Parts: sequence; C-alpha cells; structure tokens
Amino acid sequence: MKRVQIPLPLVVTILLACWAGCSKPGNSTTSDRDSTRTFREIVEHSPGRLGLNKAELAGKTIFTKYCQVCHGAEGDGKGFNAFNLQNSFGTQPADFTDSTTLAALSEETIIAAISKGGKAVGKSQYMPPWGGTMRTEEVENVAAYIKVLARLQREKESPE
Amino acid sequence: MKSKEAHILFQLRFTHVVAVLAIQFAAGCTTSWKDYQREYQQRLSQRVPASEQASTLEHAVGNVITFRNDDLGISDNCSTCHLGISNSTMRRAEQPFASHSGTYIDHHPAKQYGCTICHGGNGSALQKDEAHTGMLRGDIIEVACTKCHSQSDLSREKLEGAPALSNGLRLLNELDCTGCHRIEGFSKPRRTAPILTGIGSKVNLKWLVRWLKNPHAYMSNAAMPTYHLADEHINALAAYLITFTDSAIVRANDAPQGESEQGGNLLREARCISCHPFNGTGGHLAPDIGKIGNKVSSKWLFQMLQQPRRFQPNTTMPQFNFTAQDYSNLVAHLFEEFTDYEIKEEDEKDAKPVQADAETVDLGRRIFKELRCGNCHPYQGEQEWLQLGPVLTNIGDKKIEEIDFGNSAIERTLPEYLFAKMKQPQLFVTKTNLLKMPDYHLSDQEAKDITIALLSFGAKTVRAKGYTVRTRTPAQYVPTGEFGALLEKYQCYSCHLINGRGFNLAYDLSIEGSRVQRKWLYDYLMVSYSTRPILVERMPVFRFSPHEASVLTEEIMKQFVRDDIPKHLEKELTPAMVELGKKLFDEKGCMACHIVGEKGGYVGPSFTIGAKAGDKLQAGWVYLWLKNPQAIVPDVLEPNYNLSDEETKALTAYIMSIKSNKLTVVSAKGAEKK
Repeated sequence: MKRVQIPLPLVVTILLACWAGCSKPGNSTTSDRDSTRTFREIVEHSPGRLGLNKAELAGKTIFTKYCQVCHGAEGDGKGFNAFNLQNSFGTQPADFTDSTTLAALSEETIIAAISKGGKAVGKSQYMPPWGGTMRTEEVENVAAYIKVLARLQREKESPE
Repeated sequence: MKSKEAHILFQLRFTHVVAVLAIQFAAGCTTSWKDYQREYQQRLSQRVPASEQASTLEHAVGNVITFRNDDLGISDNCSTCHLGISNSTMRRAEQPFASHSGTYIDHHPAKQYGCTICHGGNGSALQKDEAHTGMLRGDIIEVACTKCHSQSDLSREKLEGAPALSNGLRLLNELDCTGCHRIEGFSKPRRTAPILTGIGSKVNLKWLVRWLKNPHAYMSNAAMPTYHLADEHINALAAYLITFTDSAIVRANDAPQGESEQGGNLLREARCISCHPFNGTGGHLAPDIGKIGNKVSSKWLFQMLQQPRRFQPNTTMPQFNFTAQDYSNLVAHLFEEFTDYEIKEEDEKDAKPVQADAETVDLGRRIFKELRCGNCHPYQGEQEWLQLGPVLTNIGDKKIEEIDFGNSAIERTLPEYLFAKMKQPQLFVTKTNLLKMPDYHLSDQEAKDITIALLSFGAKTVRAKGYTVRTRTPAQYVPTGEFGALLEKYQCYSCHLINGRGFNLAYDLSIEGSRVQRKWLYDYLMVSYSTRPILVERMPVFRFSPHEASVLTEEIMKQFVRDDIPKHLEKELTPAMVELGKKLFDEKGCMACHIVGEKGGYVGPSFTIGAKAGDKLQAGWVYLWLKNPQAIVPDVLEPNYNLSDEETKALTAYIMSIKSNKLTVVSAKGAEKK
C-alpha cells in the first residue's frame, strides 16, 4: 500500500474552493454545475462516491436499463411495475437491499436467475430470462452489482 | 599467488552477486513477465482439459510476444504478460490475465490491432510500471477511436463503446459550436435558435432583460448560454432587440376571447407536455413554457400556434388541425395557468422603465454585432456570418505554451484547460482578454465529454487503407406529394424516425406498414391513445381530417414495409398452435410486462387496452419480433427468449387470436386514466 501524503497547501486550496463554491450565489439547475472537480478527477473514473469497481459500475448501467422497472432504481423491489405484479400474480420482485435476502443468494443463483429466468432457480416465472439478450459478461456484471446493493443501501441510510 | 587468485576470484564473485542483486532490486522486486507466463499457464491448466491446452497455449514460457503492424505503425510487447486478452474464459481473472472487457476485441482483434494503438503507454517495455507509463486511463481512451472513426460520423450516430466521445461530439453539434468555431468536417451551425425578426412584437422588454441576465435562472432547459454582461449592457441589448417589430402582428386583431377550461382540455389532448416541460415537468425536446404568460404577447402566441413555421421555418413544432376558437381557448388557458404572478407583480411594481433612448439603442446594436448574436439567431438584414472563435480542427495538438491560462489556478495541461473553459469560461477573463465565450451551464459530465471530443481533434490519425472507417453521408429521406407535405405539416420527424430521418422519441415508422393493420392505423390516427402509461411522450391528437388520415394510412401501408416479413403468415396459424401458444405465454411469464384482460404488467404495450393485439398487429411482424426483438428495435426491453420456430409460431398464433370482432377504441381520455 502506498501512503499518500496530502500537502497542506492543497488541503487549504480545496477547503477554500469548497467555501467559495458554497458562497456563490447561483441558480444552478444542474446539481454539479458549481462543482470544483477537475477533468482528471472525473475522467479517471473515480468509481465515484459509491465505491464501485469497473464490473459493478457496468452492471449498474445494465441494471438501470433492464431491471429497474420491476426491481426499482435502488434494487428494493419497488419498481414501477412491482405494483402490477403484486396485484395480478401476488408476486413481488426480490428486494436486494435486504442483506438477509442477498446473503441467501449465491452468485451462481443470481447469474442463473438473470440468464435463465426465475423459474430456473425455483422462483417466479414472471422474472424473464435475459441470457438471450445480455452477453455472459454483462450478466456477470449485473450479478456483481446486485451483490453490493445491500451495502449501498446501508451506506445511504447511515452515511459516515 | 594462490591466495591472490582466490582473492580476485572472490572479488569477481562478490561483484557478480552484488550485480545480480542490484539488477533484481532495480527491477523493483516485482514479478517478471516470465512469472506471469508461468502463472497464466497454471491457471489455464485448471480450466481447460489437457487435451485442449495445446490450442490455447500458443506460446511456451520464456518467449517475448511482440506484436507488429507496419500499416498502423506500431509494435508492442503487451501480450507477453496479458496472455488471456482474447480468451473469454479468463474474463473474471485479475490483471494481467484477464480477457478484454466489452465487445472491443470482437471488432478489433488484438492480433490485428495490438494494444498501444488505443491504450497508449510504452509498448516496447517488459516491466509493468515502465510499460504502463503514459497509458490513457478512463474515458479519455475514447480519443483513440478517432484515429480511424470520423468525428462527424460519431456526432450523428453514437459509437457503441465510445459513449463519452460520441456524446461530446453530439453536443458540439447540438450547442451549435460551429456558429463561432470552425471545425473541419463539421457542417455549418443548424441555427435553430429563435429568429429575432419580429422579437419586439413577441416578447416584452422586462422579460427580455430578465432573460439576457441569466437564461438558465429563468427557464429550466434554456438552450441559450449566459453572457456575463454588465446590467447597462444588458439593458442596451434589450432596448435594441425590442426595436425588431413584426408589422403583421402589430396590425393583427387581438385573439378572440377564449375559454380557459376548454383550452386546458385541448392542451392535454394535444399532448403539449410530450415535448414541452412545464416548470421542469414533462418532455425535454422543446422550451419550458411554464412561465409563458410572463414572456410573450397573446397576439403573437395566437398567430404562432396557427402557423408555427411562419415564425420559425426550421421549428420541430407541429401544426395542429384546430379551429381559431380552439387556439384562442389554448391561449387563454396558457395565460391563466402559466404565468408566474410573483414575477408579474414585480415587473409591474418596478415602475422604472428600461432606458430606451437612441444612444442606448445604438450601444445595444454595437453589442449585438460584437457578440455575433446572429451566429446562432437568424434575423432580417443579417451581417455576414463570421466564425470569430479559434479554429478547433487541431485543438487536440495545441501546445501548453500556446494556451492563455489567464489568472486561473488550474493545472497547466490541455485537458484541464479545455474542461475549465467549458465549465467556467469566466475563469479566463483578464484585463487584456475579454470573455467572448459564453457560459453554457454544463454539467461535469457534459464538460468532460466535450473535452474528450475536442482532444480527439488532432493530426494523429491512421491513414492506412482498410483501417479508416469511411464517412457515410446519410441520404435525407424526402417523400414527395401530399404525403410528404403532411409529414412536414405535422412534423412527424420531430418524434418518429422514418428511414433514418428524424428523432428516436417514438416508434421508428420505417416498417410500420409491415407491423400494423390498415384499419387499426386509420382509427389510431383519428383518435390517438397510448397503450403504455409508462411513457411521458405520447402521440398527440392532431385532429387529422378523414382525408389526411387516409392519405397517411395508405402511404404508410404502401411505403414503409420490409419485404422479408412474411405477409400471409396468419393463414398458416391453426387452433392447435393457439393452444400451445397460450400455454407458452403463461409459462414464459409474458404477462409480467403485457396486460391481457384484467391482469399483467405495465412495461410493454397492453394486448387488450386500446386495441386488441390481433386487431392491431400483423402476424408476420409478430413472428419476426418474437424471434429477435433487438433486431427490430435495438435497445428494447423485451428479452430474447431464443424461441424455436415452432414456439414462435405458436406464440404468434396466440397473440393474433386476442381480437374482437369489432374494433374497440378507447378515447384518449379513457386511456390516460390510471
């Protein structure tokens, strides 16, 4: 492990910059309009505040596109379509923000459920198979992202 | 003697040992490439049966693997350590054993392209840190794509695998950067900004001053950037602009008295919200009109709604087939509901008129010319178009010593300079360098993507034949006759893609004649509705005349077809297939997304609300769709079930069996109910 030494002038500059940013009168419509991040900070993918690795980040993009509609943006199983699934078939999309639920699911099970559908792992047939649409690597990335959803939820509830 | 020899021998030996140690130490005590090769083989032997290893193990341990391609002018040793780069079974291994992520390697085999062509770095080195020096990391690597792919292509069509670069190039077009900057290969600015001719009869002076100060503070999705001008200069500019009057509007009678409530019904029916946001809620294609009552004159609005293209020939706003009374109802509603009364009161209270004497107007004229407002806004009697900004064609090669960092505290590199210039152009204002570049209020991501796009404009391109991806100039689809005129009048291209022209907001109509049935299409045009409440953007009710609807229907059924879609599949479908199809439909859980009867999900179109699937669709299209939905609509959410021909036919039979004898059409209002 490398130890990174942060020089004092830099800390002072950052603090000053933050202060200047805060005190700026502005009517920003974009949240990061007044951010003071540099190009390098943004481009080198600082996997962001979420602390996700490359596979998990890629998985997040795919999750947002295909899974969010039922499983919800945060993976809590309360997506737009969840109400109808409950009403029509009495079934609820899995809540991945629940650490107990998540712990009970092995990576293999999650991968099988995504690629072969819910029925293949003894769950609801209303979870469709995505193996014909996503590449193997993409399925694995989604599974990797699902695996961190409970942690993300915890961090959201009690930020340091 | 003997001891002396022994001493020399000892000294030699000692030197040798020290030298070896020093070399090893200099190598950073890191794993050598041979160790990596050994470990890779070990890992591979655990995965692949011994009989197949010969084909996967192309190299014995101990060989440096050098890639060389003289056409590209590169050679690198990267594969010496990155042995698994093309082996998909290694996709979850860690570096340096992992296979390449994404589909890049499918299109650019490592054997043909090598690694450093995209990643950069020091390809001749054999030691990790040395080899990785200067590598491009993060999104910036997408700059390398433009060695072969043309920027103007990417600005029109997103390159999968280069999302940041594509987005940056798209933004260069969308923000009309070529209004002020020359970029070779990029077309002239689209100049979709409002025409200023007659603006004095369109807006009021108080609004204009408010707007020019900070468009983004006034409107959530303003396209106009902010020029940080002094108040007196803003006043002068507004005073000058307000002299641009439109005599036709001045002379026109006031809009007839309208009924706000009826206007409201029409507003919902016309689905204005599909394109226009109202104070931040709604579509994103058109200006936010949540405060339109504070901005425009009712006379102008009444005229514009009837003939949008008279006021802005290149507008994407459709012309509706409403009556004059309808339009005045709409105007009444917009003024009643979408006026910010606080702003109105403030404007009325502030009795001090905006200074508008001849001197002020003249100052405004000079500012107008200086800022080259006409580079984006067309107006009558235009001055000559002049790109006053720096040429961007080779901006990626710009040297540090050529950059004027002003008094800014940013890091002295080209990317940081470009990024800061995008995000905060005011940073670079000094006494000698006045700000000309306005502030576009970009987010971090937009500024980063544009920076990446700009860095790609340089001389470092591959010229070898067979590598450069040619510029395709898309032929504009231009239908003729009455049909063509109708598509223009109703601006179908604003939402629909038709043979490559238009926007991808609504369904691509290019094969609509093979997808739907004639009768359904005609009825749908007469009373449009949505089968998917999930969408904000829905088809407006245009009130086509019966003649217009039938011209549209006939031409769509005739022109927008795909020959490989079987036309008469429905005749081959049997009751036995329907039965099997029903079983499959339940087993596969299709109703998780599609409603049939009382049950089902809201993701895909309902098969029974609005129109029954069998009354709407053509069997041939359903068959092809089920076989591979993404082949028809690339990013559609429907999973590809890898169905057999028999299963597909059965499901098609079942879906086509969901029909009524009489087509039932739910009114637009009914369909909107949740």
